[in-house]
Amino acid sequence: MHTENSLFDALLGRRAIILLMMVGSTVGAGLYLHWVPPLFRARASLMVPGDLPRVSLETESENFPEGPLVPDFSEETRVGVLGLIHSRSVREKAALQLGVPVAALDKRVKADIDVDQQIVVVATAADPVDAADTANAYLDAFRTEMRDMAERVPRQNLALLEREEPEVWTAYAQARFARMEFLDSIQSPDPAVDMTLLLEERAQLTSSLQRLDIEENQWKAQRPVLEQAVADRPEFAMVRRTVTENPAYRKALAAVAVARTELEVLRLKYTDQVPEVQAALRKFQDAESLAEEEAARGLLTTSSEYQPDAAAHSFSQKLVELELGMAGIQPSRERLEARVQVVEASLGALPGHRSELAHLESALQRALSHAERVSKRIEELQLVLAGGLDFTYADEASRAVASQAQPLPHRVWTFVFALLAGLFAGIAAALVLEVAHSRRTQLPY
Amino acid sequence: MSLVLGAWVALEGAVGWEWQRDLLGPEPSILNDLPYLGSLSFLALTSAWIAFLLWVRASGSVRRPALGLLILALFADVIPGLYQFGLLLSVLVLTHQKIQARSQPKGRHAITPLIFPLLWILVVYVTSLLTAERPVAILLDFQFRVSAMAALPLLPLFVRTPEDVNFVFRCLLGGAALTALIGLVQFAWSMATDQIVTLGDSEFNRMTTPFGVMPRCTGLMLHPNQQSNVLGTIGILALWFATAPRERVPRPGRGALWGMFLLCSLAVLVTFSRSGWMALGLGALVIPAIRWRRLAVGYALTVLAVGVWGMQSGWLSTVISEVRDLNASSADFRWHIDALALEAFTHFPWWGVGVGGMLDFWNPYHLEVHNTYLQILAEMGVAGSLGFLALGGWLTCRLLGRIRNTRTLSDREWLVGLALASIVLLVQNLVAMFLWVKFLWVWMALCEASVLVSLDRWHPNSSHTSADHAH
Repeated sequence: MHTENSLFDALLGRRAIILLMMVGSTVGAGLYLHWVPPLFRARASLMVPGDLPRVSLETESENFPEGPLVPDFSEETRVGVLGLIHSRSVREKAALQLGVPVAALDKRVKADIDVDQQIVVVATAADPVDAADTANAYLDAFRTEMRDMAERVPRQNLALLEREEPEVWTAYAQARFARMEFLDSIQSPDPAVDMTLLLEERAQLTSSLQRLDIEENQWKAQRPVLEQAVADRPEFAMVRRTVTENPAYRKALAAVAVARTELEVLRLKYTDQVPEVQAALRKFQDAESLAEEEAARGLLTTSSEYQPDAAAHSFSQKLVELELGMAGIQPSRERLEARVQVVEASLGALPGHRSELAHLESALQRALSHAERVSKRIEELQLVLAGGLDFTYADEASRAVASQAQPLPHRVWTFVFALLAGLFAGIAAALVLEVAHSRRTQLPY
Repeated sequence: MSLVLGAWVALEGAVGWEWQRDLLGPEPSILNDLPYLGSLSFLALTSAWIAFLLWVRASGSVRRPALGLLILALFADVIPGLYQFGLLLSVLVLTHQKIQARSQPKGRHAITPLIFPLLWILVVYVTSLLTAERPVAILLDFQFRVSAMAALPLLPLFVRTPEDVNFVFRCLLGGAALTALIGLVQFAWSMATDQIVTLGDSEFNRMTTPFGVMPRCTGLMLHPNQQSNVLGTIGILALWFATAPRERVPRPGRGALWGMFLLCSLAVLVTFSRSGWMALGLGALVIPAIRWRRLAVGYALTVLAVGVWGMQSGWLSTVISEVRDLNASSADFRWHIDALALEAFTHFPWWGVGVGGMLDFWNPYHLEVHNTYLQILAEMGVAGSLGFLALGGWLTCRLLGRIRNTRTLSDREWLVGLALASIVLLVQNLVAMFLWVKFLWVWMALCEASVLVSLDRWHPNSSHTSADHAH
């Protein structure tokens, strides 16, 4: 078992290797620094905001931030941005701005995310001014490319809409004309109102027809009654009759009175069995009978006056009126029915007119809405594109500056790491030799 | 060489930033815009190399360091090629032993009999090349995966004694501790800086929870599920030994093992891997029943009672639904892909759709089957399933057989620990796809190596002693 001392001794015994490695690596680093000119690295940073201000013709409220404006840290955004910075299109734009061939920029620029989570464009060159200019050119090219990409579709849409605008307003005018023509053809400014009026008229006509039917039925029922009433009434009716008392009755009464007197006188003298009384009684009875008969005759009409029967006349008149009325029912009915047909015909055509008019008005409304939308969108697009769609943010402080370009490599740290690398490599080499030496006797070859 | 090295350091100082940008992207975690990153990386690599050489020097041979490197590589997916380097060293050591004509201990099985089902699996795998639309892609994957599968026949040749087993155990604990600690540091750093700081892919390193976006800390691994898988397995192993009777494990060791279990559990927790949570929980629940068998019935009834009460009171179902809904969409698509896997099996029952074929089989998600068993069935069909059944079944029989037949306490402890820790793998593979992950194959190789070491103890011609080394 090897102790630490023996290990130290083993390393100490191979110190030459270790020192050689240390010196060699330091010299190698020095030679590199001497022969290879330094590079300069310049950085320009940009920010991709999470929210972009919106331009609108309606309201500014969407532009009022509801919280702090922070960069977009989403992975998708950053991957896209980094990829775009490395694209050939950006490289070409940057080369154009710098006035150098595109190939000269290959591999000199990289997009990165630094420890502060910022997107940076890092350019490396032999000259600090060149490095800073390259970084800034890439930054500008990227921002321009991004803006162009963002604006491409809106510009296309604007061109399309501007071509379409005159056509949509023409279509609107045509729709208006078509509507006017239609209204003229149906001779109605408003079929809806017409329908209402026609419906009212039809209702009234229907009501009138119903009344006619009722009247006809009524009259038909009254007619036989009137006819019977007329038949039952005499032509003339007695208006006055003079009557007197029946003289025969007076005489009969007188005779009764005489007979009664005679009877009473006889009864004063005789009984009823006496033939004179009986005869008087019989006479009295006869007188009474005669009086009763005369009384039954009643009053004697001495004279009477007749005139035509007013009721019969009235009934006749009514009957005539009824006949007249019934004669008028059929023509009235025919006339009303004819009117109803006319109204129905007019109503029948109205739904079609209304539908057609609704269709025309709908088309008109659509045309107007579309034309207004197109015009509004054109205004909005022109406003937005006038300001430009810049999705990134970079100010002067974030641009690369030649004086801040970092010289590479850092001389002090290069020597430090070279020394350390030499030391570790030397120790490793010494240990390999030590292990190989200790195992040598066990290896048959 | 030193001159070149110095010049390289200077060059790296000049253009290293661009190399970093090209290799690591615009915003790598922790390392973003770190100056002289290349030189620092060189120093780190050289330090690691120096550490390895010191280890070799202290061990007296390359054998233990190679084995240690192989084991540590299971916990460090972020270091590319480390496992392959360890495997290469192991092969060189074995070759060296062969050249030196050191004979095998008498009675020692020269090579594991599991080589036969392994070869059959390889044959079935190769058939995928014949039917694939992109055989080159499959071939590249195949080469990579063969290195993992190579552990099965090679590790038992390397791990030959109980001391080797103990060494492997220590390396497992060390590797798990390292990645677990790094995972916890990542979690603390992420919470403190409000930035996700992990070494895993950004697609998998975060989860939206009711408490906000949480980092899924992967330690030195690349995927949180893999981190939870390795740590859950080692955690269960540590718990098993931590609960061993006092006479078998001294107090400092017991404390360290408990600490290891807690460390692994915390690290699994911060992976936010629900499959890892489930597997670790189930494994930990089983251990008391095995460790204290006399109380097993009572324990099982208690667990059952708690479970029933939890379901009836609703808190258990609430917890389950909350955990499931942590990333519901991630759970939902799995059932669809599982159904697709069954559909694929019905279409190609004998040889499957081919390894990797599920990605294109009516698969709108273009994701692998998140169930190792279904993956085998769908991609390798009946042929492949038989191979894996033979491999797994045979290994299980050998392991259980040794547990039953061994008379050495330490052997039984170790083998039972392996079996219990395997629960994590078995359970987590129900909802994850670890079929071609090297940890699974090395674990199977370790189980087989442990069986062979146990067999060696009792072989009449074995040269090993029966010393009982628990640690």
